[in-house]
Amino acid sequence: MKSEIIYFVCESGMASSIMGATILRKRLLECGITTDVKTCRIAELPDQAAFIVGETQLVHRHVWKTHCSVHPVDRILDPTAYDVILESWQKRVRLHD
Amino acid sequence: MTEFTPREHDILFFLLSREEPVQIQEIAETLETSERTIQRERDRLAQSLEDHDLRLTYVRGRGLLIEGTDEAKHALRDQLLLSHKQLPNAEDRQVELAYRLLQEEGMVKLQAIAHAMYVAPSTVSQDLERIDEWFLQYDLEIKRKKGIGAEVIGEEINKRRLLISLIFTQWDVLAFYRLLQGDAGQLPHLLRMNRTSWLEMINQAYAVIAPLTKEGRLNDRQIMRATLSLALQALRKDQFPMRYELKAYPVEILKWVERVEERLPDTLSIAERQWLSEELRAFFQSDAGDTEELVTRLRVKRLIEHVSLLYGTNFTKDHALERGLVSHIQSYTRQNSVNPSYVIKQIEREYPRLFDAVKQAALSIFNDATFEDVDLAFWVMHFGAVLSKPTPKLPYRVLVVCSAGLGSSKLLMNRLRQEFAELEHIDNSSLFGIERLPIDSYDFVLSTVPLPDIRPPHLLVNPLLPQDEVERIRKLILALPKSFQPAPRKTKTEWLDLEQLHRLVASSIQVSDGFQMERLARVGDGIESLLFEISTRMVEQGLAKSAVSLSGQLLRRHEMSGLGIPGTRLALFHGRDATIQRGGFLIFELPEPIDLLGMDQQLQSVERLLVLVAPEETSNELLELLSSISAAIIESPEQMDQFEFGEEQTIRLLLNRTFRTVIDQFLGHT
Repeated sequence: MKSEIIYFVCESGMASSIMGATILRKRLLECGITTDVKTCRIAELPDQAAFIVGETQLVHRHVWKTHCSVHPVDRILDPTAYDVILESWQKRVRLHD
Repeated sequence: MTEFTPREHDILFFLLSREEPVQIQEIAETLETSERTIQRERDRLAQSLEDHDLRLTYVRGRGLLIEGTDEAKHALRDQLLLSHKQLPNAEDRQVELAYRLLQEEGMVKLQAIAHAMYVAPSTVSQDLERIDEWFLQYDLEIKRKKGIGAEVIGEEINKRRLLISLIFTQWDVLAFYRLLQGDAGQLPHLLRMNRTSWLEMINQAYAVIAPLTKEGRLNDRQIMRATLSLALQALRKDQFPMRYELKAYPVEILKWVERVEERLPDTLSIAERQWLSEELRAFFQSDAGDTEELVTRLRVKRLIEHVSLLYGTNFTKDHALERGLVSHIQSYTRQNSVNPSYVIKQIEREYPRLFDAVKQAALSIFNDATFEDVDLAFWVMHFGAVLSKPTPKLPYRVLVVCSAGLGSSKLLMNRLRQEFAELEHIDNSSLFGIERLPIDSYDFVLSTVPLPDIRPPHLLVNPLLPQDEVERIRKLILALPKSFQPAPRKTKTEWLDLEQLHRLVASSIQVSDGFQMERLARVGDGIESLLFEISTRMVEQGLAKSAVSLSGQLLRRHEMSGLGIPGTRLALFHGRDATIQRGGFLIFELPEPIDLLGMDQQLQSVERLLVLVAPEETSNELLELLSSISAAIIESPEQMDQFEFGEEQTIRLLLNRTFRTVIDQFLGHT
């Protein structure tokens, strides 16, 4: 479980996902979680990606594989919007421990 | 709060864990001391136990036993755990040393002080070096004569001032207030050597000035200082009289001196009256409280320690942090670069846990509340800056020792795993099992029963690990030599891909050269015409093929998920597809604001557009550079500010800095 990565997706892969990922990384660091956050275009998501974060509108339009745990965010620039994501991540980690 | 000597503590703790009588020989062996020592302690122990509603009984042939109700035993156990809390650190020890020196008339032997403080003479020597500086700040000198001792040289008035500063580093206003209400236990360690005298003089001094302070409108800290000044005078004036210096004082001050003197039991000499005059003068001069750097520095140190404990990260190594905080507190000019309330909100949102930790720590250390929210925000920023530097995650190895069969080991292990993510390796063992273990290979040891002397640092803990125990353990971890290791430097010794570096640099040049900030003359009606205007210009610059399709794209993106950056006047239009010919970054300043949808789905007023575009098929290097711009925008409130309001040259500089970081990372320089 330690090796699992969080993927932050967006359309272009160079703006929303970058900014969202920066904020998410800060929040993770704050909680002492060392998980990696990678950004990528939603169309280029690798097969093994299991924990995905992205803008609500975007992720809802995509067709997801069953093993993907998808976490939509409404306001990607708001640090408090990631509270839910942190909780979900910690729950997931504990389940697999 | 009851005080126990370390030995008392260990014996009682050991006895409390046993239901049956314990042979004195066994106690002695476990605590690695002699039976005689245990015998000697018996009377003292019996007395201490009586104070706690317990009895120390000797069962003939079987040994010592603590008798009493379970409640009383638990209460004692709690007391023992609490009393362990006051572990004096180096700073406290140095303060005590300075205090003791100032209490002596003439030369004093270092041996004597070392003995009184239960430390080695070499420690005292070392501490002397460090406190030299403090004395210097007060125009005092510590004269050392090898083989004889040390002596404080200087004017009594300065000695008293230094004494008061020292007391302030050990005592806060809240505890002082409680003392005046009758809780004698609030007297700091430092003053317990002359406990009765201090208590008497402080209460007397407060009785004198209390009615006067109501008129003078002094704040809590000033009241504390005034009381201490008087008390100190009463304690010292016979043995350490003031020396009179011809000086003039304003009439109001002399009037106040008279009023105070009226209420004193003894009349003062002229020289002693001068002490009052000097203190009063200092009062009326400082408005926001003391500006003594010594007090600030020690408090900052304590703040940093406290925050480290509450937050779980070691901030104590960072000297820049300490300097930054001290100079912030000392200076009265506030930086006006960024809107404070915006900064505060931003910081509270980005570092909620850190904000809480700093706030809690600040409240308990600066609890006369001489700081405002703005100060708090800046302090959090200082701490946050340390956090964003990459810190190594050091794996700690810890051994947990519990008496076999008590079931406490499982409980303790779970609690440890919950509270301390940094403990990679937790082993457990029974008391007898430790002999078979390579105990030196552990960074530290935690046990629920007293252990014989072992090399690694070791703490006796309550298996339930209440919060104060967690803090103790954190403190221990922070003090480990391992925690002071510098981060292992990651040097890239692999093959440097020059082609890739070339592409990176070439793309950087392309984006930098292509960057410009344009002021639009007119904006037309609504967002469609605005976007069309912008797209046209971009086509002119060769970034896109068709203005129509580009503006259509940007519009679609806007409708899907707003592009305004909430809380700012910016919108970030970004796109990547086949109609883009060349990647780039541009800024358009609007002649008048326009309402656009923000990234939080709310309408906001936008006056500046940032445009970031890339072709569908493009190099990773270009994408990385453009991504770095996005990251740079939200990197910090200051940088956001610069993107929002900066002129073209400012932004150009920002871009250059951002690209430099990307290239540095590529070269392995970070």
